[in-house]
Amino acid sequence: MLTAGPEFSTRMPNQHPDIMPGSPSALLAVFTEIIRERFRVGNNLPWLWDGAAVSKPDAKSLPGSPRKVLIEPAFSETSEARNVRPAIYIDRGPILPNKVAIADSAGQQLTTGMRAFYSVAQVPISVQVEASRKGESSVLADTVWFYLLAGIPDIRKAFDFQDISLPQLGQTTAVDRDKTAWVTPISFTVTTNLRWTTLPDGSLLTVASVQANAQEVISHYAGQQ
Amino acid sequence: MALSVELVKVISLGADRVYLQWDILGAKATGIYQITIFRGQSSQGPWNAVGAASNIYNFVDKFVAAAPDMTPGSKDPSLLSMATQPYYRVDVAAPDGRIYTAISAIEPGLTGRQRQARRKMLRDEAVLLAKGNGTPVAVCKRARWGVRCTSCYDPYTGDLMHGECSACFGTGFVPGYMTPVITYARRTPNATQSVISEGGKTDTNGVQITLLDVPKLQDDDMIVFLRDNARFVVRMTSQTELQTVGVHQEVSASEIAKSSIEYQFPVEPLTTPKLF
Repeated sequence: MLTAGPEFSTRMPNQHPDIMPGSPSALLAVFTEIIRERFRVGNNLPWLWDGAAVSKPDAKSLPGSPRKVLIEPAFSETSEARNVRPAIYIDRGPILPNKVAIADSAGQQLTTGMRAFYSVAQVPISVQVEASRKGESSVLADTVWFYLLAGIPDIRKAFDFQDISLPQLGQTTAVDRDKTAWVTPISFTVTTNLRWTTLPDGSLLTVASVQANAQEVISHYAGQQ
Repeated sequence: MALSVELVKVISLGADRVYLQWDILGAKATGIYQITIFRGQSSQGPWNAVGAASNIYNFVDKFVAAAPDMTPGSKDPSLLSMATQPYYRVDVAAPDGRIYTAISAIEPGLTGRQRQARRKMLRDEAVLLAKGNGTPVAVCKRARWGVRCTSCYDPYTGDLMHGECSACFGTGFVPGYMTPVITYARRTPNATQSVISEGGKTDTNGVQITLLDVPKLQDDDMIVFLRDNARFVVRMTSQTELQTVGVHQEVSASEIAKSSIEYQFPVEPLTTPKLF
């Protein structure tokens, strides 16, 4: 059972402390782990993800036996598995915040002067399913696509997403690698919650400004005498 | 598209051998294709069978000193004699029992002097590769007809469901590649390029490979350099030609990743006879 870090937060447990919940790296980790979860041992699928590095295919393995699939965030500079197929790569697009309240205001605490704000951000998530053959890319992408489609309510609840759009399964096309590979894209948009507060730094600035003005006035009159 | 047979290479390999290569186009039926090769003295025959096998794409006809199909008193069939012009016929018996035929002369379209010049260039290139800058390679023609793989091929869409299938090596046909042909080739130095793409780090190693004229290569065929077992997939071919007859071929190829299933395809250089 896949769970979020702190309960109902958009972040994986044990992620690097610099990564904030709902941040781009947290989103990538969440969706990478969600997809990996589908291909773990015991799910009776033709593909298997067990966390181990993908090795050379075993010529003695039966054609119908599960084969390892690589599941990684896209543009990974630390993954040393090269030219491995089948593989699933997860990436995000540009994040677009949307205004849901006037001045994004959610409230104000009169005693301290602290103000709270709220907004939502739309994050396009793309999943590239790459395989050596068109048929495998298409079937593997279909498995991922339907898994995401069926799991929207559970994913929303577990990771505190405001909304997840219905995923779109794209066309399988050829790409040029060491040999011709086939890629099928899956795309959808998640809407995350953005919450923030501001401290009452404004009053301090006002005091400083008054003091500066007072010094100016004193200097002015001192000069006249 | 109806099934048809095309003789793409009928050339001499020296004084006593003729190399034949054919394509079977539009072969959708799965099964054994029985091939029979005939030699004749004209395009109309009479024909004498010189070989037969199943699911092969080439054949080397070795002449004997006194060919049994030559009538008494006829000239020596040695190809050194420009007076002779043997013809070849290839019959392909499809799995449904129907027979398809192709007929061609040796090096059609060339005059005697042009044939001599072509053979000289081919021989020089062969000597250069065999004794000079070439290394032994196994040319593995990708299977494009024959017995369909039952474990990964979908007959309705024509797609392969298992890219790393150990039965067909990702070709859709068993056993994946035709019987390798051992010959010589040279390749340009490796220049591996690593790029970070959405698929992580990707290595590509594109090389230029020079081979003799035969076997004629197509895209997706595989070349195995026997000294280091580096395997390359053919991307583009170009031929040096003498009046549309090939002399040798230049191939743009890309090294296949070591993790690919193609490295499991068995190549036995000790048991496979060399072409030259």
